[in-house]
Amino acid sequence: MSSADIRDMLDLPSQAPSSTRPPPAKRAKTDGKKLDGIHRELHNLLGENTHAVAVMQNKFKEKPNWMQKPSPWVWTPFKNRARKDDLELYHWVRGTPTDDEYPFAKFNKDVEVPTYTQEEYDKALADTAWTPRETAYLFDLCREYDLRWLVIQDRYEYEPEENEPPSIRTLEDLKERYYFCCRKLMELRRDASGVDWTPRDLEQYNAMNFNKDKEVMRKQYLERLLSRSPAEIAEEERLILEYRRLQESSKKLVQDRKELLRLLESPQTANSFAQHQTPQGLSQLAGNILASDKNKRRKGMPDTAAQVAGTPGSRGPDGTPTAGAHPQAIGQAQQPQAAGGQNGVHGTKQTQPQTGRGPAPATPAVSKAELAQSATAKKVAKRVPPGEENLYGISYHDKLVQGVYLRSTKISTLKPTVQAKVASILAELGIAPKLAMPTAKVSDRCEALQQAINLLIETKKQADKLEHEVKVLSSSNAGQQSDAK
Amino acid sequence: MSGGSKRLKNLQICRPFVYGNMAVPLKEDRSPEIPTDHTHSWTVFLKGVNGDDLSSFVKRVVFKLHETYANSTRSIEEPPFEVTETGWGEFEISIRVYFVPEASEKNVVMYHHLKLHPYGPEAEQQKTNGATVTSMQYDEFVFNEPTESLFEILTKKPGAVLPAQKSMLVPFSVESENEELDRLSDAHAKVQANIRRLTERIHVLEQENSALQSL
Repeated sequence: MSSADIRDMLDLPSQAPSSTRPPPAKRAKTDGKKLDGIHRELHNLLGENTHAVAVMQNKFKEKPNWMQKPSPWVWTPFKNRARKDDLELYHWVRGTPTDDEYPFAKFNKDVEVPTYTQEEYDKALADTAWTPRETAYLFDLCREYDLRWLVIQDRYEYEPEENEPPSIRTLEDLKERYYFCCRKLMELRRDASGVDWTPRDLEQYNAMNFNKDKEVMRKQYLERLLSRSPAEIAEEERLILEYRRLQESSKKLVQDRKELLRLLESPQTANSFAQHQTPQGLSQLAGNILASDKNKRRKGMPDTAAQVAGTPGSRGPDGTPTAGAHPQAIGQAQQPQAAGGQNGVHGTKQTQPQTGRGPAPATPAVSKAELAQSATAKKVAKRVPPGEENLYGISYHDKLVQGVYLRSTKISTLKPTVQAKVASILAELGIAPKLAMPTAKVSDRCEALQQAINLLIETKKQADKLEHEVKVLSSSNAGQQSDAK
Repeated sequence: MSGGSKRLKNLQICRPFVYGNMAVPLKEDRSPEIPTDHTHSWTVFLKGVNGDDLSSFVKRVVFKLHETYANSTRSIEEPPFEVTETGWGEFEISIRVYFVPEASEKNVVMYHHLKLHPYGPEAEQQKTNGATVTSMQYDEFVFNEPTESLFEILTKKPGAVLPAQKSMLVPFSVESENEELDRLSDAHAKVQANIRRLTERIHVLEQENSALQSL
């Protein structure tokens, strides 16, 4: 008993053999991936085959040696080489005291404050605001206090001689004087010895470029910055944010502006329009437009004019394209006539542009024959003998969407629910949903059939509705009658 | 060629064609290169009705086979537009038709389910016979507003002629077209009869309705 037999007995449709076959199997994912680096470690930690125990390092101390005698500590005197006096102090030293240098002596570094001779001073360092004595005092202080300006300024207690004005020196004054002197000394010494500076010397020279005003202002700024109130701080933050936002949006604005400009500039005129700006140019332009319009109308005129005429006989003279003006006149003459809806329709159609020269649906035969007379048809007629158009599959249609398609793809579109009902009715009638031979005639007829079925469905709906109403009314009447009795 | 790229308005040309496949079970004595699990040798094709030559307006046909085939995208540039292969499974083949450049048209695609096993009421019998299985579909290329060059190409010879009689070799003919037309007409007639019946019923019901309402 094969499945085909069973299906036959039960009147089931035959099963498509393909559904029993599984689709060609996909290759299974191989598990032999190579893992690299971090993935391997991770896989080791989390995946299969994890290490049972993690590696631990031995961090024990060495075993202490109990046998050895401990070394003694000795109270030893020492001298600090960095001190200028010969002070001897004592400290504990482990084991036997060596006579090494005191280890902290090496930290006694001095700042290199230059010394100058009187000649050098006279040559380069003379200044109206500073006496040599004061300068020397300053330098001594610098040497003493290792160029620590705050300390120097604090300890600055210069006692001027009787004929000198009292000296009130700010920190900046002192710095300025010091750096000025140092720079001048460097220059002087370089010029005197002829040895140019090393890069390091140059760096030092540049570093000593002290600008008093700038320094003063800088300190003022800092002062102000520190003394802001919280409100001021918030305000400033807000302003900064706004500024940043504006910056970003400005970028966007610039881009938008560029786009706009590009758009505005884009339609480049091929010829300059200066020639059209004169009155003659304008009239010429108008003439050109009219002429091209006429040309377009001329092609369409034979159709509508002949339709208005309505008889095949009058098609002869109208069939020629040179009769452009006449059909237009005839058409316009016919327009005032209200004779029959047909004319009116065609009258309105005339005002439509070229593409809308479709005839009213009421006269399809006339229009198709009309199209047969059009310019396209003439070209066709040259190639194909008139009666044999069928053999070439040529047909004429009103409005065509340009392009190529398969006829089997052009099936009518209805709402999906409706389409389902239509399909079921088609099945009842014994017509397969996919046409066996979708030729022009067949597909047209199929379309007509589907429309008819659609109509049938709607009629049935209406009939059902009416039946229901009748039932309701009759039952209510019966109820009334029984009440009346 | 006169004025190639202008399009002929309101003109529609159609060219019928046939596409599908044939399959034949592989016999015992077959070339050893074919893998042992292949059971059938099949050919998928696209050709004209009557053996017409489509290459006048078809530049190339691309058959996209199942991915498991080597070079699964087969591009055929010359007639006959067909691909012959061996295999064991049925799958969907996409057939993409490219037209000659004079046509200035984009390509169209259709799908065909490759049939290897016999189907229908005589399936069992056909299986034992080792008969050739065919599955073909008739369709038409419809060119709306063709370019002048394409028009010239298509009108060199009458291309829309169907053979008159149906036969084993010619499954699509005027005869079969008429059969389909008749079927459709019958169905149409039945539907119209039903519509008439229903409209009559509607009249009756409307009269009843108005009668009842006037009560």
